[in-house]
Amino acid sequence: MISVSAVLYSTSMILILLGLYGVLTRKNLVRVVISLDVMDLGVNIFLVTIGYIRDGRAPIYLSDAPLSLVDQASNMVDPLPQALVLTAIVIGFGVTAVALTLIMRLYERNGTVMVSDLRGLKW
Amino acid sequence: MVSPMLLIAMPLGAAFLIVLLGSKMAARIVAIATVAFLAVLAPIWLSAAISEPFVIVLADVLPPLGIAFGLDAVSAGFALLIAVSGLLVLLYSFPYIPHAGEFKGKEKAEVRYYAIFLLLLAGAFGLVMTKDIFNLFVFFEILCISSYLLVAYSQEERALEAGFKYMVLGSIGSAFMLVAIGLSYRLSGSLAMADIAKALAAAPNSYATLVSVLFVLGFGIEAAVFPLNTWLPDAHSSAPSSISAVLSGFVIEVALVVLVRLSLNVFSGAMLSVLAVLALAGILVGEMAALGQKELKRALAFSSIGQVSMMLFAFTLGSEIGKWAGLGQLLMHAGAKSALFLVSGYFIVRTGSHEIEAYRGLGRKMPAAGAFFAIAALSLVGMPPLFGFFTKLRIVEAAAAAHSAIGYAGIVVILFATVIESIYLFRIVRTLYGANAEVAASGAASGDLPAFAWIAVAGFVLLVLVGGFMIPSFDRLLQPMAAVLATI
Amino acid sequence: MLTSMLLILPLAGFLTSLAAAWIVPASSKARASGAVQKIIAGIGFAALFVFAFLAKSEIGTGYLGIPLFGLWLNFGLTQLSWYFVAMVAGISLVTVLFSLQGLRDDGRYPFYYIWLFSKTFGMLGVLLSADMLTFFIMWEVMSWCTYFLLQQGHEKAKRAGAGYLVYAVTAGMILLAGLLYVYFNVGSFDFRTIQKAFSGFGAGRIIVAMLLVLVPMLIEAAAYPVHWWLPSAYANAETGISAYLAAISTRIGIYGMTMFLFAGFGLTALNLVTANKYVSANEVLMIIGAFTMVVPTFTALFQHDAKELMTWHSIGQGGYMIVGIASSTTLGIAGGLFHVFNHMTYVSLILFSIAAVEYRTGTTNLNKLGGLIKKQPVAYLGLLFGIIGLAGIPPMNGFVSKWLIYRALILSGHPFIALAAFIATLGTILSVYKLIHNMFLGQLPERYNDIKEVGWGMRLPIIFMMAVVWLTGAFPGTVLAVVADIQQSLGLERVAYSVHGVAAEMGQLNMLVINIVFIGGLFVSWLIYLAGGKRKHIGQYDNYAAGHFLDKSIPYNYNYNFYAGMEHIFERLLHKPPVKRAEQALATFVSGTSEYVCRIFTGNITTYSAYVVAAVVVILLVLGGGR
Repeated sequence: MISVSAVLYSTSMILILLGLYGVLTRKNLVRVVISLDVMDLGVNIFLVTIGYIRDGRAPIYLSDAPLSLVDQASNMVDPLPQALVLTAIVIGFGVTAVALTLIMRLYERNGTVMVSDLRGLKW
Repeated sequence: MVSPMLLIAMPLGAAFLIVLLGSKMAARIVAIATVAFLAVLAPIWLSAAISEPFVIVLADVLPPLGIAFGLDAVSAGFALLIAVSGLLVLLYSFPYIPHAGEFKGKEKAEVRYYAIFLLLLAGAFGLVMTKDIFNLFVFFEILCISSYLLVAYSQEERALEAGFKYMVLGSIGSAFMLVAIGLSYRLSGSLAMADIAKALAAAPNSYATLVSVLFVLGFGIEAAVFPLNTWLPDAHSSAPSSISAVLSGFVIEVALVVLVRLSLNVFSGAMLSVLAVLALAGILVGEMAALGQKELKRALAFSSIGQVSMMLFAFTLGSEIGKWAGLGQLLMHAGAKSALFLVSGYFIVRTGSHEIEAYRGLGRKMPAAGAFFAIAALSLVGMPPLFGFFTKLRIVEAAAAAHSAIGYAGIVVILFATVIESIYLFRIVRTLYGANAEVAASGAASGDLPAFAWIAVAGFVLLVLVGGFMIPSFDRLLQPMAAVLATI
Repeated sequence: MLTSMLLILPLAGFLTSLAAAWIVPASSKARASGAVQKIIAGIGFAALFVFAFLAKSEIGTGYLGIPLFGLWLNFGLTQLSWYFVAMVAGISLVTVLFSLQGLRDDGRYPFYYIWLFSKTFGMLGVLLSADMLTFFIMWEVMSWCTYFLLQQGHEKAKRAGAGYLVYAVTAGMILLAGLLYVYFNVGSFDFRTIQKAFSGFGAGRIIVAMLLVLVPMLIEAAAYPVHWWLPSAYANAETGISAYLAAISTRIGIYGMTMFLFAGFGLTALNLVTANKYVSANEVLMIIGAFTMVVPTFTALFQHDAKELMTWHSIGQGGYMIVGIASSTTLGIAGGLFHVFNHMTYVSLILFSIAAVEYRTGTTNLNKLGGLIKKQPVAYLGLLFGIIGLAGIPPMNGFVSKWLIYRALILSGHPFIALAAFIATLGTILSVYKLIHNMFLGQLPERYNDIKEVGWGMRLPIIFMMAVVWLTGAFPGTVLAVVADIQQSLGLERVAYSVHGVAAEMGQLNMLVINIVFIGGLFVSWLIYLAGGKRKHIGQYDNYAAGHFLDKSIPYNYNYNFYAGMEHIFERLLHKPPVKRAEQALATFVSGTSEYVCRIFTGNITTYSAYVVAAVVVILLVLGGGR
């Protein structure tokens, strides 16, 4: 039987490769940014999957829970990757915002958002 | 002693303060006060860190769980370099930034310029201080995002284009890095570099190689390792010149040193030989491409690729003297290239053109700017007794001492690169002092560098001018730095 | 102590004149600035000259170690370096004295003396270096200062200087490679240690080291085929600078060659290489020298600019020095080293005379001058003395050194090299005839009717150099004494000299007798001239050519395109000499490569991303496949 984490790992890899493929083939700047986001998504899923534990519980100690603290800890999912993902999402959001702003300004100047027109600087 | 965390906290806080205050004057004062304060403290931290590295504990949580920072000789040395360069560039920015670009809401934008500039400094400080691989990623992103914004600051078409390209490559790099971070966390269960190093050493080779390649190449985009540096000539040539100076002067170098430190200590040793080969290719490509440029700043940007690759080559030799030589070259380059970019900023302001040919005869109109440019160029090519001669001498010496094929190849490449450098840099200098009735007659160049800009450029030029004579004192700093570079 | 003054003085002069140029800028106060510069230069170079001669007492003793740049810079005087130091100090003083009047205070050369000081500093530094690292550092300083010196003046000079820079930096980088090679084989930079170590090395290592070290020296000495930077660079400089550069700057390469051959690697090492029966190291050098003599000398024949013609000769004369020194015979080395001095005296004398003409006429174009003999007699005599020396005709000093070299070549069994030397001398005579004829003989163009001789400030240096050229010809023993000391210090046999020439055991040469015969001959012909009686002075148009009477509208056109017929024969070679073609091909190759490299940066973000992905894949494959 395929484990959940295997599915998630392969999903994340597929998303990353898909995103890379998009960056390499799309002709529209907005689509390039979307491809970057897809890639980011893949990476984030990958990070979350690292902390995944089957039937895990939220990484919060409860004083009124029936289990002892040691037992609570034994089945907790790793909180660190989740913290990382949160940070990564925020950063990804920031980058996307910057990217879209740049595209907007470029569109104002050039009236085009095609990659092929973005070749003023070369050689 | 004050906690070195101020290096990160102060610029971050000041950046937000600047945005809150919202006035141009306040922004300038807050920015310069912050950086000046850090520049004064940095030497104290440096001397303390050389004798005893700091370990900084945040919120009372000890590593590996807490967020680990440390200030050792390398990070303190770079903190000093960043703070002083940042201070000089800020001084330069006061008169220069109003000239950078014409767009709506320029007044407001200038306030944000200082805020983002401080963010960039915070990112750079954090990058050299962190002991934790995820923090490394966070500061890397702070540095990158503020760079994207600053590159595009002028909102000219070329600036926006350069910023966008930089951003796309930076995002690909950060995705690779995150995957590598995830993989190493999965292996070691820790984010502290020391733990990862141990775990990777024990891991199967293919796993370690995958992690190393993904991380080094992801991070290498920012460190301008060939062939990941394609964004650099665009970004460095289209950014406002103050930002070009910062990017070429210490941003790529900071990334490079962090990359080298990680490659030396954390990742698989095979990466070093890969980097050595890439470095040699980078020297050749950078210098040869610079030879063919018609725009001044673009030529300087390509020269940065060559110079940074030269440092990388010295670091990859693996010997103590190699690291020492690389750090010396880094220091010299920070002085010389910053000065060159800052001066070329005013060439552009005075003539309104990026083309070298437009500057014909400008050296006579702007004697101080011309002289600064010539001295910095001389140091870059390596004329004794300027600083550059001795740093380059040390690099080839280190390469010869390595007694390896790559070392000998490196000597040939560097010597050849020097000849090419002398050709294109002095073609520019000659143009500056060429006869041109048009520039002489027209008021195209109305005046030399303004006072603040003059001081800033003079500061950088002073470094290359007296650097050679101060090598013994620099060595007292560089030697412990080189030694620390070989440890986490 | 005195030795250190040789470095301190020019450095202090450089800094003082730089400060003076800043305080009294030439751009606003050209006259005052020029005067201040000249005072500083006059005092500085005069003091330098005195110290150079005082320092003779410190030869071999006064070692000077300076801790600087985290290194030890070691300086010291040897017999060989003192000879060159004295020449540098002497010729720079004469050049400065000549420039006091020869250089107009029009603000065209605001940094003339500043760079002259720095260049002198660089040269003295090279000469005084006692170890290879110091030698390299000072070598670089010297090259850069030459570049700055060449950057004075007009556009053409600047372009020529750019060419020089490429050659000089290349030379410096090769020298650096040689320095590292020697250091990592010997473990020391010190010349004496190097010499000891090299006597134990195999031929392979010696050849590599020698190639890496001698090639830069040959570039600096402008030996064929790496001479192309020199003519236009020197010819387009201000004439005083041309004289200085042609007289001594290029000869630092000869110094380096001699030093590395005989003091650096040592004779033992050299002999080891020479022992090869097919081709010996010194013969290769002699062949290079032979080409350097012949090709540039005949190129000089077809120049139409006096300075350019002379700079080609300056290269050609270097060939005699290389041949003489590389022959590694007592006479040859003595001749080669003596020739350095002789060449310095007559080439600066000729260029001073040309400068005197240029000062009045404003041109050095040989097609436009002529008939100046009566207008500028001192310059004429200066040029006459100079070209007699240059052509190696008795009684001037050039004859003695060339005689030594010829004799060495024939005695050491190199008849073809000797033949080359004779051919080169023939070319020299042909071309100096063109020089003196087109400038001073023939018809005076109308526009120069009001020309006057230059002032005493320029006349005296010319007369002084004339005396030197003649007197060292009559009493070559004065200079040969120093040369013999050098030979002894290098562990070679001393040349047997007498005050009047070469002693009997090395082939009698008595210049005093030659002088008496020569002057006697002149006196006799003067008597015959007087006795001849019937003389009539006629105007320059009282003449006819090709059946035409000459008048102002039809001057005879012998001046124009002198040697046009010969030029026609050699046209193909002259138009595009192989060396020049090779140089151009290399330049095209480099810029073409650069263009291709630039294409890597396509400007297309898709390509850039592909590079990143490709790099990751390729490196993963390489590292994965390597296991």
